[in-house]
Amino acid sequence: MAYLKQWLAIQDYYVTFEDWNRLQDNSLDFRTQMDVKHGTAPSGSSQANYSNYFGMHDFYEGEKGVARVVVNSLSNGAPSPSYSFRSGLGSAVLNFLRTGVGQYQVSSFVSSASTAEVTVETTAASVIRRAEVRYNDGSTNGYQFTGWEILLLQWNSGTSSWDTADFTFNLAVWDV
Amino acid sequence: MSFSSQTSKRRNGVLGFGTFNSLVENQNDNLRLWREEHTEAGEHDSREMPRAVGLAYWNGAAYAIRGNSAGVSSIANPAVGEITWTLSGTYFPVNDIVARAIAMPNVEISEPWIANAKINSATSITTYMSKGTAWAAADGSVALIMNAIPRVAPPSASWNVVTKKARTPKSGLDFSSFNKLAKNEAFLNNNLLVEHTSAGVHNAHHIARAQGNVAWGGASYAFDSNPSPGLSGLTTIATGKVRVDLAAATFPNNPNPSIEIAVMPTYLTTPTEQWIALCKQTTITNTGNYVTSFEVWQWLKSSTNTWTLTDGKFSFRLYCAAV
Repeated sequence: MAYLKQWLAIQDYYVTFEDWNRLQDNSLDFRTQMDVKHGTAPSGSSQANYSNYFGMHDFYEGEKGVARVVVNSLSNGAPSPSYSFRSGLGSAVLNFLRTGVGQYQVSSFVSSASTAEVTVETTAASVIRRAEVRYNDGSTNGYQFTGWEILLLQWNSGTSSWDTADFTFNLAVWDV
Repeated sequence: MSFSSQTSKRRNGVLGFGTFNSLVENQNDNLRLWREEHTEAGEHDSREMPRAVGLAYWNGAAYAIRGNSAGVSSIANPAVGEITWTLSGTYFPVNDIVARAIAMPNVEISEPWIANAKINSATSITTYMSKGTAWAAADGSVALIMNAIPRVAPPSASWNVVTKKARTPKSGLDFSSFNKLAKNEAFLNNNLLVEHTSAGVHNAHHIARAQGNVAWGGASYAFDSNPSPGLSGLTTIATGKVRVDLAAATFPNNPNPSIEIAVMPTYLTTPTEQWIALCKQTTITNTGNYVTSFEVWQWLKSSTNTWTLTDGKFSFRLYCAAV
């Protein structure tokens, strides 16, 4: 009887190999689910080699980058776009260049497979604004530029026209 | 710390401290991945994904909140075309919100509508909607998509669920350590299921369920590249109007979905050519409890400030209830 008690104590203390296997299977299943919408392992790598795996989201339905672009004025009065959000994944930084009144270029984190949307902010009910974004593949208009071109427009009720203007806007980018 | 796949143990296999330590490290690595862009309650928490998507649904006389109302505590309609959105303070802890107002009119329209957002504070946003060539204020449904900075700090490299590491064969193989590992596995799995399906697919109202990049080929529309699963086809209705058909029983319709459209013309030589696109609320069709299709209407402005239905490239995002 004394021997049996000792045996039971050992069984309570140690974990069986079935338990360990189940726990390992859970871990692998969890990792598989994380793979679905959190990027992919580097090409050719195995599950044992995930040194470049950061866990950030990487899926078609979600934005790759979101930026709120605040148009401030420099000391000389010229508008200067600055953005208040980080953008995209890793080193994919959105670079803004103002090319004219209400006209901007985004020259990075852009591909022919990506899509972009520009939405605007307003200040009052009477200030009606909208924006347009277009993709330039670098082959048109006689200058070398590949990226998004943004046009900011404000309604002029006096002339019944849309005038270009500088104001805060938002840019969201999607990619594969 | 990295993930190392292990082989299953056989009955006479050794469950030594090396096995224990590997499982601990694997779990910590999974947790590290999980905490990147998620809260510990299982919600997504990233700048790049909307924090909340609300729909102010116009029934012809008044607005009611549809969609992810968890981030929106109330709405008011103080003037025609104007909606004041009161946000939940816990959802937007700082005054640093990206708000996209999307016009989704559900009244008869012949001209484009636009919506603008004004951020008043971390708990208040006002949207304005206008229509037609004179851009008079008008009431109709408006979707409000809000991104914000994460609510929690990025995970610390030193953060561990199980800090105990086995040094001797017996020290890591006791039931206490096993129970802790098993409990953590359950925690991770429960959190994953808050806003994902059991297959790992996102399943939350504030994360787009479908995304499409649609090209106009001069005679017909086609999905441009890698459309989301669940998009079954495109049907041209008339000039400037295309229907997006959805797979059956995939996208729940209660509450009403929010559909974001963005026009995407290739470069045009003159900025006087201006485009507007939207999804009219009443074009959304349903079968049972699921959305079946919706239409995208596009207009091009002429030099005389009139808007004409025109075909062109666009993209869309569909937000709907969790399955």
